[in-house]
Amino acid sequence: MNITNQKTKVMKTQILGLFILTIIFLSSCSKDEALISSDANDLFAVRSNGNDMLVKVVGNTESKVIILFVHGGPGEGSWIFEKNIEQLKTHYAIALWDQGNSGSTQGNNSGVFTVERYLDDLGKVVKVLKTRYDDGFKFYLMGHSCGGGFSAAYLAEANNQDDFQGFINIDGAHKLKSVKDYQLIELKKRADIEIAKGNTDPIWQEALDFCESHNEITTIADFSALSLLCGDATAKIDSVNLFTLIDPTTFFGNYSFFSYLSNWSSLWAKEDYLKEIFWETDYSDKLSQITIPTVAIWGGFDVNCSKQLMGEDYINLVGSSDKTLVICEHSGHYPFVTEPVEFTNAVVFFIERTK
Amino acid sequence: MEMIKRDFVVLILILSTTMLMAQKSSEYGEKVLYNLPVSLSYMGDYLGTKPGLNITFENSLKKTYLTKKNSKIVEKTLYNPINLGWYNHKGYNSALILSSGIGLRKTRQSGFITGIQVDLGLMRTFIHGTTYNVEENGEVSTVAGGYFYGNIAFSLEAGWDFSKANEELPLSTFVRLKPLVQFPYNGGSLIHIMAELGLRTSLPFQKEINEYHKSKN
Repeated sequence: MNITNQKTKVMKTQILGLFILTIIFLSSCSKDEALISSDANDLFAVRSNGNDMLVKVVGNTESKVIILFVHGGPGEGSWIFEKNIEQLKTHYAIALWDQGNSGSTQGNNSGVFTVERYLDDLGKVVKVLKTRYDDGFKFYLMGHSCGGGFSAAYLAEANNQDDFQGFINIDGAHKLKSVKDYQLIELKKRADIEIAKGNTDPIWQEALDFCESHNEITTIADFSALSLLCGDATAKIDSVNLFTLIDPTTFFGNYSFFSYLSNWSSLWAKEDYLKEIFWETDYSDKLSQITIPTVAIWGGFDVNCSKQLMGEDYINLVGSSDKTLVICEHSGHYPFVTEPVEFTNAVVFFIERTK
Repeated sequence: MEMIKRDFVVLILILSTTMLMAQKSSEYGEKVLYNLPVSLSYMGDYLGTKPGLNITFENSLKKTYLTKKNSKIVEKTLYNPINLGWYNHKGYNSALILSSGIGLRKTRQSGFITGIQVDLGLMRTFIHGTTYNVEENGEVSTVAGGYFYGNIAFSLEAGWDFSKANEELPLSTFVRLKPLVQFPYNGGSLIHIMAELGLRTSLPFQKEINEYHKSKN
């Protein structure tokens, strides 16, 4: 080997070495931030079933109260909730967990898709959260939509509810297999009301046509179309406050929006899993085992998850002696988006009373 | 993991092919010594908003000088890039990306550059913050967060070669739009929209490559 070749090799090695050292240095700058703060922003991950699931604890950890949020969807991720909790964050800390195959959760395998897996993951997140925040913290479980159903199922198992001071159920679906039937009923009812009022928006006729042509929902495609129609119809109800879910911060913020989209599309391609949830799962029989204080916060115009058929049924069945149903009168399926003040007040009132 | 293995084999095959191409001589060209081009760039995910860096060594394979009817000369360079990149997406992850592939760049007499590049490689992500594992017995331990993935990228480049105006200045600047697909990602794949802004120069390590001269009459 001549001298020029040797010099070349040495210089290439030096450049690569310098680059790698720079990367290692920059990566090592990411450390766990202070856990106790009035404006905490603590990020960690829980590895389970081939996924690294991100958990972000934001807000007031000085309150020594942490609300663990279980998002809906399935596969929705915690980003919608995170964008709408500015007021709640000043009172308490909120642990934003992206479930397996959801949101910013990462893994390089094809994934495990069963309801049991999601309950197992929730148990691990609770365990890690209580290990990381072990100094006199009090915990609340909060579930939205199908996350409300999963949370109820988790609390009803073994001694799981002993880890929590209370359960906040937001438009939650404990009777998951009935969601699509209730959506058909609510959508038709709302369309009849709006048309009778003289509302000429074409969505109401579209809703009626859909309901008349689908006596029963038998496919995932029809269920997706129905849920989407319910969401669109909700936004057209005059009494529901206006809301937007997506803005530039959604894309350019810290949340990986592409990860959310990727996870969403692969999860919603798993027909067996979706059929297990929306055609087989019903936690009605388990609700009597939940005895910790509970508040159900419901959108008065929730077409996706009926206040009457699901919310009132939950309150009737849950075993707690301390149970309340709070209705947000200008909300559909996302009361924390459409009425953040009323939502925060309901949560604060419940926690201050039970912590 | 099977997909990663398969893609790794494909990557090796691509590299082998480009190396073979580099060794092939042609009766239409001549052997010429060229310096090793290297570029350093800011490379950010989400159209450049998530910061990162990239270094690319270009193994030149072939140069063609095409003289057009108006006597202007267009320089076409076929090269085999070896890229080492990194990005940091706060609140999500950071990643090291190693890839290689094939690129074609046109440099006009004015200095204006356009180019395309296709790369295939491996990446390793690193989760921000501690990653915990809960054992069967309920014990909580920490693990190295993140995973290995495959990646494939397609880049479009535009830039300016300052050496066309001043031979003493062997420097060019470029911007690059680089959609990169990470796979497998929870049973699917994940797209990154990378944007790069960088400088390219030549290191004084010479390599013999085929040079062709063509003209359009």
